[in-house]
Parts: sequence; C-alpha cells; structure tokens
Amino acid sequence: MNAELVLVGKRISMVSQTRRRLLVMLVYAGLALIIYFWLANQWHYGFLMLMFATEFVNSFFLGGEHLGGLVKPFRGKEAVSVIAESIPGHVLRWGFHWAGKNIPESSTRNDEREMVQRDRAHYRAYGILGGVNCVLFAVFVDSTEGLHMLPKIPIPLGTLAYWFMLANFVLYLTLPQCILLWTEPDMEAEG
Amino acid sequence: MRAELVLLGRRVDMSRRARRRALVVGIYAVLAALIVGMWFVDQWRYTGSYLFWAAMLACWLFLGGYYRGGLVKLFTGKGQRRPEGAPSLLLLKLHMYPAVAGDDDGGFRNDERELHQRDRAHYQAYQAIATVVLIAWFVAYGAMLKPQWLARIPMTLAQMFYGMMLVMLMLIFTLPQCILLWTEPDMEGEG
Repeated sequence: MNAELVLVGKRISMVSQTRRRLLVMLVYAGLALIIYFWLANQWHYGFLMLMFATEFVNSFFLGGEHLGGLVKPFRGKEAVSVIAESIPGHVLRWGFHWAGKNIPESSTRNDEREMVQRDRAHYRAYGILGGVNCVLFAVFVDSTEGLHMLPKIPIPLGTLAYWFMLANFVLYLTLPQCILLWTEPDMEAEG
Repeated sequence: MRAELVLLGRRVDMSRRARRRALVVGIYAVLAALIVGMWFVDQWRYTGSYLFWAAMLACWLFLGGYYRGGLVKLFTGKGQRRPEGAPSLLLLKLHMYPAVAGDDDGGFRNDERELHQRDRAHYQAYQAIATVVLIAWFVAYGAMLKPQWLARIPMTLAQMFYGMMLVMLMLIFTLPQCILLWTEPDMEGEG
C-alpha cells in the first residue's frame, strides 16, 4: 500500500489508519450523494456519472483496479485507468498527482504478503456482498410469494432491485480496497 | 479439502480432479436446468426460492464451504458443532449423517495453506461475479431507460431483476467452492 496521496501538489501522508478511514468515509459519502442527487433529480445519464465517479475514486484515491491511489493494482499489472489516460484524466493528474509511466515497480507489484492481504480483503468483501444480495432476495421472496413477513416498502419492486444493483455495482468496485485501507494498522515510518 | 463424499451410504472417491470437475459441471447443469424449468412452471413466482435452496442443498451435499458437509471444509474455519444427540432417523436412513470430528477437529478446521486457498478462490470468484454484476447492471439500466426493449422479452422488469438476482446468488454461494474443486490437482493417496 502506498503511504501518501498527492492532491493539488500537496503530499498528504496516509500512514495513519485514522486518515485512511476518514478517506473511506468521504468516498462513500460522496458516492452516496451522487446516487441521491441522481435519483432525486432523475438525471438521464446519472449512471454514467456514477461510473465515472467510481472509476475516479479508484484511479486517484483508492487504487486497486489501476495504477494510482493508495492500494497497489490487485492484478499486479501496470494497468492504466481509462479515465487517467483520457484527456480530462491528464488534466486531473496535474492536480491529483499520478506519476505516469515513471512509477517504480515496487509500488505496482504486490509481494507475497500483499497478495495474501488482497485475497483476504476480497474474501471479506465477498461475504458483505453476499449479505447484501441475501437481503434483496428476502425482500423479493416476501413480496412475490405474498409472505408479508417484512415491513411493507412503498417502492416498486423493480425500482428497489435497481437500487440494490447500483449499491452492488459501487461496492463491487470499491469494497476490497476500502477494507484494506480500513483494516491495515498505522504504517511505520521508513528509516 | 476432503477426498471423498458419502452419498446414500456409499463412499465416492473424489481425489481425482477429473471427477471433481465432472461434479462441478453436473451441479451447474442441474442448477441451470432448474432455473429454465422453473421459469416455465410459474415464472419463478413461487419456485424462485426453491432455486436458492437447491444451491444450499448442493453446498450441503457436495460442495461444502458455506455449509457443513461436502468436499470443501467450512470457510469460516469453525469446528464441527458436536451433536448433543444421535442424528435424526431420516439422516440415518439416508446414510447422510456427518462424520464425527476428532478431538483436535483437524478434519474440519482450515490450516494456513487452506485459508490462503480459500481467500484466493474468493478473489477469483469476486472477479467473475463483478463481471456478472456489471452485465446485470447494464441490462437493468437499458431496461429502465428503454422499456420498449422489454416488449420483445416475455418477462417484466421485476421478473428480469429477480432472475438475475437468483443467478447471482447461486454463483455467490457456489463459485468459490467450485473454483477450488476445479483447480486443485489430484490428491495423493494416504500413505
């Protein structure tokens, strides 16, 4: 895991677990706000905005999927984010720092310990997402089979399922990285 | 991972990878046939939940992992719950009672190597399910944006979501075990 973020030219140390947890909370609060405004205002292309925002936080804050962000690429490849490589991405890099092709191999390739951490984070994320899907399943079964064991929800079933799908989508793309950032203890200062 | 299954009183050797792969293919073929068949029965209105239980049954009898029993040890690493009484008459008649754990529970707890295998299998399953989520989400968004597309498909939006969710749940509960069964090499015979 990388120890710092560079935002608008300023280096921000992220060795403290508290700071990383704060970042995770801010990321999810931001994504939740986008979903809220999308649903409240019926934005036609809200889903594109959500995709862009999720890819953006992965590319510049969380990492995991691509180069950039705190967590090294899970696949260990120097895969560059589509957003980071786009023209707006180049502009954003200027502000959000992204070392481009000069990133040393040590900050892209996972060592054995990091691979174990990556796999464990995915195991935990898998459990959480299984739980989310089980809740949706219970709501569906309760409604379609007329069991009425759960409180009645005044939202059409199709819409509810779509919201769950959105939550699934955002969580699938961000949860393992966030689990890593949340659970890893304070890093030791390099000698 | 265990080397044999006990089905209806018969021990079936599963130490060979080819057999385990045949089992995986058989399970997914049956689950796929159930999904299609139950659509024609009542459009999953009442039979949808049976698919969930079918996946659970596959875990209990064959796969293990999320359920005690089956080839893969319980993922949570918890030891076998010691039964307070004798197994039920039905299980005795069907010869499906679980094996009794020894004092050290070694046959039920995952060692360090198995925990790593478990986490790696979840990492791989996570990638596969993320792809399913992405496809499901695009389909869902397309259906919300252009409802006329649904006119060509003989199912409502809620039914389509329900079907996707059933597939996703079945995969969530079976895929990590199937990856383990598929990828582990032939087991060596005990000395």
